[in-house]
Amino acid sequence: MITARSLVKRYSETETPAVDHLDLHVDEGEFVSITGRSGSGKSTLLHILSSLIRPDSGEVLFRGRDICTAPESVRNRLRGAEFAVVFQQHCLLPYLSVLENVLLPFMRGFAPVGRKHRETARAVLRRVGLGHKERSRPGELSGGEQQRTAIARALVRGARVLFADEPTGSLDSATGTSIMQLLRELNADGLTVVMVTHNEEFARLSGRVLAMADGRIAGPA
Amino acid sequence: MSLLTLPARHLRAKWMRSLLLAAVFTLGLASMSGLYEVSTLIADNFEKKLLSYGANILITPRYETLKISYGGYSLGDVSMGEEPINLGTALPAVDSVPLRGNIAVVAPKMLAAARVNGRTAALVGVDWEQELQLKGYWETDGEFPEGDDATAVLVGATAADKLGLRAGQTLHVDGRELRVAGVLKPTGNDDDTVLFVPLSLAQELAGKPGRASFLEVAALCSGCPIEDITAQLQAALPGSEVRALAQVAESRMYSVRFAQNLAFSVSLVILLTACAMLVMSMLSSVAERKREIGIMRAVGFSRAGVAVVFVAEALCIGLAAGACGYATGRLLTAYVLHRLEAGAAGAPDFDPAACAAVVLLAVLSAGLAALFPAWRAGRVEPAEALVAL
Ligand SMILES: Nc1ncnc2c1ncn2[C@@H]1O[C@H](COP(=O)(O)OP(=O)(O)OP(=O)(O)O)[C@@H](O)[C@H]1O
Ligand SMILES: [Mg+2]
Repeated sequence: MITARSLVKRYSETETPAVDHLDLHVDEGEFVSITGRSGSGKSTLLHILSSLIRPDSGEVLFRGRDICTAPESVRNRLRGAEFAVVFQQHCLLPYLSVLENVLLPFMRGFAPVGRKHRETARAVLRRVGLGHKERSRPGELSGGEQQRTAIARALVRGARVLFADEPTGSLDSATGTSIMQLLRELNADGLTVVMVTHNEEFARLSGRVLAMADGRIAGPA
Repeated sequence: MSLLTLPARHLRAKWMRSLLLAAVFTLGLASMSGLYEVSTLIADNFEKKLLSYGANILITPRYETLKISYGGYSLGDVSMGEEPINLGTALPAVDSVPLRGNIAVVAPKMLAAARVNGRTAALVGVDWEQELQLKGYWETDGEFPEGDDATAVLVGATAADKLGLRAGQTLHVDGRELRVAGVLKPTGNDDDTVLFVPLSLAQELAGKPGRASFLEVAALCSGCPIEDITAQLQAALPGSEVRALAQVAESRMYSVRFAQNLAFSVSLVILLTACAMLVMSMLSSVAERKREIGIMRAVGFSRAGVAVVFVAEALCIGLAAGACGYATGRLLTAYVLHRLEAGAAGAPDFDPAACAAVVLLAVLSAGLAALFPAWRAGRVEPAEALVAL
């Protein structure tokens, strides 16, 4: 589903590249974990794959099309429909309610969000166990509940791929385990997941584990 | 819930900041609309006062006089071609000048002599309506004649003394029976010694129907020099002589204009300061909300979509400030007028056009001020914003 070829990204001329001639293939429905030391380029890779940044060279094929050289409008649409991202923390707008945060991808235009989307959002919130919190503000949620909200935002628009950058990084191990459990369930339902994690145990729960070092895939961990 | 939910929610969440910004904007707009209104009212009031100083342009027939002396005897001046002004052609000619809008009063006068209660008296035939506008300073113990009252007479103070006339009496002018509508309080000028009668009567007595000895014109000179009006009248009335009586009005209007311009400049500076504050506040807001922008971009918002969120916020502030600014401006006007004791001029009526203009100005300037910060917001890279923790 996603094929990366010879990706290079350097943030400054003097430093070694954050991602250095990296090749990667992710099949549809896979659950891939990426591990590696701090600074090995995991987040940079995830940002390139999820079309948040463009690499200096190389290509990322999504359904056979290079998304790195695609125009901004195409990348906007990808981020709004096919891809979803979850970060370590603070993925929500603090002044919107939980329901509004979930519906954020539909608030890109002047047209009001339709009933159908609201219903889907409520169903998805129930699915991640937050049916009773739709009116709360992110500040009133626990860390685990915030991550669930961010995951719900990925589900509401039927995203095909979820990119998660240390989604359990700021959670205690019990809460982290429940988030992992949720991701595994969603993966079982067909969602492709690419996750960066430092937690070996969680990494082992995924289908495939890749180890990164110095901007390259060093091999399966 | 739509794109506009974002600015609305953010404004509410940061209500203190929103309120402060709106307040600064309101201040600028209030002073602008207030100062403008006050200065316009004062100028209007001033024009009315100028009008009460009387005519400032005189239109007379063109005389050609010839000194005749023969054999040591002087026969005096003989006027040639002294033909009174024909109102049938002169009034339309006055109406036709481009600056007609600045002419407030055109008062024709016909001079005549007649026997009043058996004694000779000087009569001035006038158009009551025009004359009373011109002579705003007149006071009478009786009443002022209305419109086309053909039997009323206003008697000058000295003339009333001499002829023994009082308000309400009847009097005989060359055998016609007329009524003293009122006796004028002393004015200290020529008005004291004459009797004012209807124009048509004086024309009849002089045997010159439809004509006038001269025209007195009151022109308002806010926005044009009196020379222009005089020149235009002269061009329209080639057979007459047009002279400006006073340049006073012009110089006084000039100082009113100056005060108006000053008020306008000060308000403009205040408004620009408010705009600068909005720009700075929004720029810091963009820096502060980088992470939010990153989230919006990560769920598919375009650069323009992000920019719209910021512009919409500014427009909301502008809209609120525009409405509040206009209302506050009116309060300011009422207060200033009260302090100046120009209360007689009366607080201005609610003017929807002015209100709309103020609101539009507010929204436009807020929108313009927001353009640069919004552009900066659109330029924020999603990843960069999300990494910075
Ligand atoms: N926006 C940036 N500007 C400059 N350098 C950056 C930027 N983002 C990352 N880097 C550098 O690129 C390299 C890889 O960073 P990256 O964040 O991808 O590592 P990581 O594997 O995610 O690390 P961690 O486990 O700590 O999150 C690091 O040396 C980092 O300093
Ligand atoms: Mg990282």
